[in-house]
Amino acid sequence: MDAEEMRLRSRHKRIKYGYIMGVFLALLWGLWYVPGSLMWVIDPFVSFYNNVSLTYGDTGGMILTAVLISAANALFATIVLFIWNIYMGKLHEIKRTVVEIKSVGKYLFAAAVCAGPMAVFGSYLATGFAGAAFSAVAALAFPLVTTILTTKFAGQRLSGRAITGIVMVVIGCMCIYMIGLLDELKSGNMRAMGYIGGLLAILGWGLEGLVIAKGMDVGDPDAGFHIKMFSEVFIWWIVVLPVLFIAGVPVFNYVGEFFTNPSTLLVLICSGFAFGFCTICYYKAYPMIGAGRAAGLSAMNAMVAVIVLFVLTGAVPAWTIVFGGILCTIGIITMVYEKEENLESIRGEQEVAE
Amino acid sequence: MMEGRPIKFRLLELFSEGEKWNYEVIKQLQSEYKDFKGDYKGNVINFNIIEIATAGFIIQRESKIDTDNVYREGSLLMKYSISTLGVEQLERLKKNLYKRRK
Repeated sequence: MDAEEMRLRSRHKRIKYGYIMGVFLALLWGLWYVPGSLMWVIDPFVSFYNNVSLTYGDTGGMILTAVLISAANALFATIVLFIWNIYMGKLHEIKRTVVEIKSVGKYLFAAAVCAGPMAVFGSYLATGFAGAAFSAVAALAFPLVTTILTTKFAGQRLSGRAITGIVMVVIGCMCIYMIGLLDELKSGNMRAMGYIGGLLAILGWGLEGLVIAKGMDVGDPDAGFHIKMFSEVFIWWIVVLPVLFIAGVPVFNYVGEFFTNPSTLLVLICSGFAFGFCTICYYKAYPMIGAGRAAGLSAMNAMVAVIVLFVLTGAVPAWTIVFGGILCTIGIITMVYEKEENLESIRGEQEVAE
Repeated sequence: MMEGRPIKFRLLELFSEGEKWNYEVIKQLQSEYKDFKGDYKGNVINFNIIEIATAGFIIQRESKIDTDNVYREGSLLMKYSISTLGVEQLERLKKNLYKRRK
């Protein structure tokens, strides 16, 4: 084998690695919905909901429970990432990266705000005030926003073929929820707050894609996701929860049970593993195949979630999943079998500096 | 200027000094960063080089197979040059550096 052949093989390996990370991202995100949904039916979250819904009503109670769940999830995911980075020997690189606030740190902190309070909170608002199907469809639209933003503001280039693939995967995944969405629209129960929530979710995750792309240009992915998750923990545990506690919501009365109730601890550990490793795959896929393709593949989490919940709980998905599945598969094939020259650089051909 | 900063900062600076082979840069970084010693960490640095090349900050110029065991026998050696985009990125980084205490 000559050097050129070896170079092409190495490029092929890099692109394959990027796509594998994208697929694992969708798989782990989808699997995360199992502990993610379980948290709503176990203590201390159920007793917290019962307690706060007496004072703040059903929707208020649901949103406050969502905050507590998001905070618990972020904490356990960060613990998992901490163990990962000790093993990978990246603690020094994290220290070097976190102090460079103006070049990298600010992007990672912005990613935490966009992904945590903005997108997660938005998607729960959408669920509470509009409906679960609406919320899911809104969340699934984010890869399109990421693609537009990273093309416009991070200079990333995508071929027509890649864009077609991304759009097909996103529409395919949205198909799963089409019947539910039509029912919700017909019911006339959707309120303005739900639409605002949907918009927050789309923009939150979309913007997160842009800031990660900017941050990962000059930051190490392992250090990057760790700082982002740590910032999320900071936002939930140092800002949001104490503010709620001072406002009279008894959030901290339930935290002890995270560690003392074995079934809660198990669910939180599973959630931390799924979410933590999902974040790892997300940040690793970005520099390899670009933000648009990575975000597009991540939309498949909806497909995985529906299948996993069907296997575990017998929740039969709507027939539209078949149509959506076919569209997704064609979309992925369109994306993956793109000319590899297009992926030599995610910003197209570059000039050598003088 | 970038010594002891995040690894991609230093990589951009090294490539801005002129065309360089990946193994030269890996060896240089391993001598500067105590936590990047060993074969595995050498691969990590190489992976970071591939990432900044994919980002469009450096461009592949030449490649050859390591027959003289300068890095690892049989492995692919790559020579890179910084791109115009890479120079712009490096300038931005230099303007926004965290000021170290003396």
